[in-house]
Amino acid sequence: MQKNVIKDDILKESYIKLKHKTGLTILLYPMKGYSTATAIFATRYGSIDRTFKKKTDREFTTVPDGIAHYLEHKLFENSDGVDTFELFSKTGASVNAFTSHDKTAYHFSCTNNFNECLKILLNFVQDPYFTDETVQKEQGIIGQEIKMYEDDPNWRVFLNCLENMYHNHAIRVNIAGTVESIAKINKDILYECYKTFYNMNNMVLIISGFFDVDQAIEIIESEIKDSVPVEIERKVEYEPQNVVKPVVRIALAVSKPQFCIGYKLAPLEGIEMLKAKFELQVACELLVGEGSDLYKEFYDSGLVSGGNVDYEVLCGNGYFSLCFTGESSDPEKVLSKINFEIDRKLKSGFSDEDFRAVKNAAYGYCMNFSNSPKNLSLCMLNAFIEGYNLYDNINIVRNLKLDDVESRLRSIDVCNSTLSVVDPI
Amino acid sequence: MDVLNSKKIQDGVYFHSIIDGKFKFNRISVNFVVKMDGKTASLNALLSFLLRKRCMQYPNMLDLGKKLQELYGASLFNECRKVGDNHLISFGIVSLDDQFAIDGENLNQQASRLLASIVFEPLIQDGKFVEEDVEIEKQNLIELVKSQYNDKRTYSFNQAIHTLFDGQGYGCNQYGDVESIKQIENCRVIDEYMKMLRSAEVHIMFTGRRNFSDCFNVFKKKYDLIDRGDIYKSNNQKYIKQGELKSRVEKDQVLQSKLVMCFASSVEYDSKFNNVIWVMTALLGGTPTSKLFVNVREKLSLCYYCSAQFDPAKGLIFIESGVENENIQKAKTAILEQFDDIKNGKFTQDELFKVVLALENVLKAVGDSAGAIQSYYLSQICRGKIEPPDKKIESIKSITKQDIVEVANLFSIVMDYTLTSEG
Repeated sequence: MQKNVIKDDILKESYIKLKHKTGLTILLYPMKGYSTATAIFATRYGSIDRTFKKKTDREFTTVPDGIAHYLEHKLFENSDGVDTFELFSKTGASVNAFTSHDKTAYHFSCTNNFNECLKILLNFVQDPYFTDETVQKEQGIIGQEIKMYEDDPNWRVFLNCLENMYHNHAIRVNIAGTVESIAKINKDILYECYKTFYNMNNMVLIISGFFDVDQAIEIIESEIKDSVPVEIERKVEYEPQNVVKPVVRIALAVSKPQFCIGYKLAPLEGIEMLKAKFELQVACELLVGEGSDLYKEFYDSGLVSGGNVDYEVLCGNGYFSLCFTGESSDPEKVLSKINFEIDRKLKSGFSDEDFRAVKNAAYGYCMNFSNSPKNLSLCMLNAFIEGYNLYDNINIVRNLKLDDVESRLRSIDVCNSTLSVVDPI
Repeated sequence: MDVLNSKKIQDGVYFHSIIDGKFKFNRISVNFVVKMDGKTASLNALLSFLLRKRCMQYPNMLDLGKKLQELYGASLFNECRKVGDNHLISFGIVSLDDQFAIDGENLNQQASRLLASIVFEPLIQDGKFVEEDVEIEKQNLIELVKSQYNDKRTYSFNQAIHTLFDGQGYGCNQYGDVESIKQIENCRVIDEYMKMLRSAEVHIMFTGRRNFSDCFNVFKKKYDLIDRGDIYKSNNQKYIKQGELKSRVEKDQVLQSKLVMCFASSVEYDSKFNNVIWVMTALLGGTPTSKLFVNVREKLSLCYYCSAQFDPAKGLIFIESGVENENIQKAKTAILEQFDDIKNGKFTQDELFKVVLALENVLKAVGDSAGAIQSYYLSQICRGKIEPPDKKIESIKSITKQDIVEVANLFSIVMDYTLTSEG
């Protein structure tokens, strides 16, 4: 296997990157002193990948919403009838999986029997087994999962914001789909998606914590099945620049209105996207973070509960947006205050002193990656999906410039936003 | 993981440390243990937020925010938790170790001093907390209490406990209740603060990569100046089943109903059985191969979650589930059947072995997180018995099937709470 050692001279740490002949990327990060090992076997396949084709296919295929998540549930069943949780239970490991907009990941954490766990992980993900009956049965559990999230105001306010920012991009669709869309899923569609996206060329295996590198490589060599690398073309629907609707409101059983303000920005790719993400995060911390004027204003006036407005930069293939969330009796006023502050800072700029403090904070957050094997693996997974190396983000933060942060702030069009509100019933 | 090193600083004040070179961040927390009481729960919770806001060292909250950013995004936190009949009021800071500071700053010492200032040097004017701060924090606390309603799983769990322990400490919300928060007068807050410093049981915890002497000295000096007396000692009264099953159905506009079932013993039992009950609860509903997960979720497809947890401080087992409205009764019946199966020994040695393996994994992983280490030991300290993870592993490995059956038969349902849709 092709082997690279990725180093960071300041941290004095390194990890190993391998490329298997099937196209599988393998990232190994041994961590001294830890008892736990975590492994993640993941594919670049999430809820946004609903229209796609293999390079060899003529036509694009569009599949029902929620299928990546459905597939995640179904992979836990095996052809011999033994449930994957049952297999892991003999090792003591904790195992789980998740699906997001752009990835599906299967992971375990263990303090004993690492080699056995790794074999189980590699085997169950490579061994799909679906029947009409088992596919049908899962609809009950997933239907309950969908309903649970429909009662969750934090999720609903966020999802409604995306739905009303994006006209066509699949980011607007619920990761788990709807009760109606999952009813259209059958075993043939599941196999089709599996064959396309669970090709090793589209996948990554990440191991961190307490494990033996040589033994892990030996197991990987013996358990990864031969396959021909598949190249996937993902169709990103044409997406107009403007948002769908500037305001959307629903009512749920909540104590006070919850809000999510989404600013729609132009999509970016690769390292440029990563740099923009950090620059915007720093800009947001300067705008609404605990050391900002706006935080104090929100806190003192009681306009936002506790003064806390959270922010998130959401970016990927064909989408880039910035969301502010919180709780307020007057979300429209919060929107106008944030817009005013963006405008004010565009005119006055941020102070050098404030920028230095926030840059320090951003560096600290980056360093947080190594506080547990699981956290480290998840950070490496995000880096892989977004197309960079783990230490790239630390280097970008170290080299952040105030001018770049201010320029990035200009990319926000305050007139192109969606205010999503969940009001009390 | 290093062993917990504990030193007494003053009467009822202890400094605990665990040093481990693998951590890049240091975590310091100051934990006050007081009696959980309806009369003071709101006051203590308010104090926790008031102190976090600003201090003599940083009288302007923006300066405090900026200082935290400068300290590489140090996280300064306050927490209110209920551990059995005790109210745990915590303040802490998690900061990057000096070794990783870009410009070689002394982060560890600055973090210790900042936390000490937050806890011991509040901003006092005319012998009281700043009136404006008290009013704002009262309002914020009221909103926090009200917002617990937004998460229906947590809300249901709290409502079940509140119903079973109405008027008792354990039935109180860790943030108090809206009415008593509204009635708090500023002059009482400083009295409660002084009482907390003088009389609470205090546990200062340090988990990090290097020597903790700076941190120890900072807090030792602070406590040398405090005259301690009438010191609280953490304690818990196990709940013993009395009378009939309590049942409550609450109606609201929810798409998914929430069930909370609570089980208790009808006879006194020794706390040495806590580990057996913990394992039995995990066998029932603590892992993806547990009876509730396999049978109620997977085989019957009745719910997305159905799990059990044990609160050793009160001797209670809770089962929580999210189910479709029309399946509520079916789910309750299935849950009780699974519990009965354990009582009747309908589980294999192999199932028991696997649960113990899973719990061993959890215990071994405690040492990999500074937060988990502190939480693990604090809960035990509040329950009056410290058992390091390796000792607990030894203990659970010796548990037999018969032990499980015996403790399962101690428990029966005492509370049944349902949140379901209107109409």
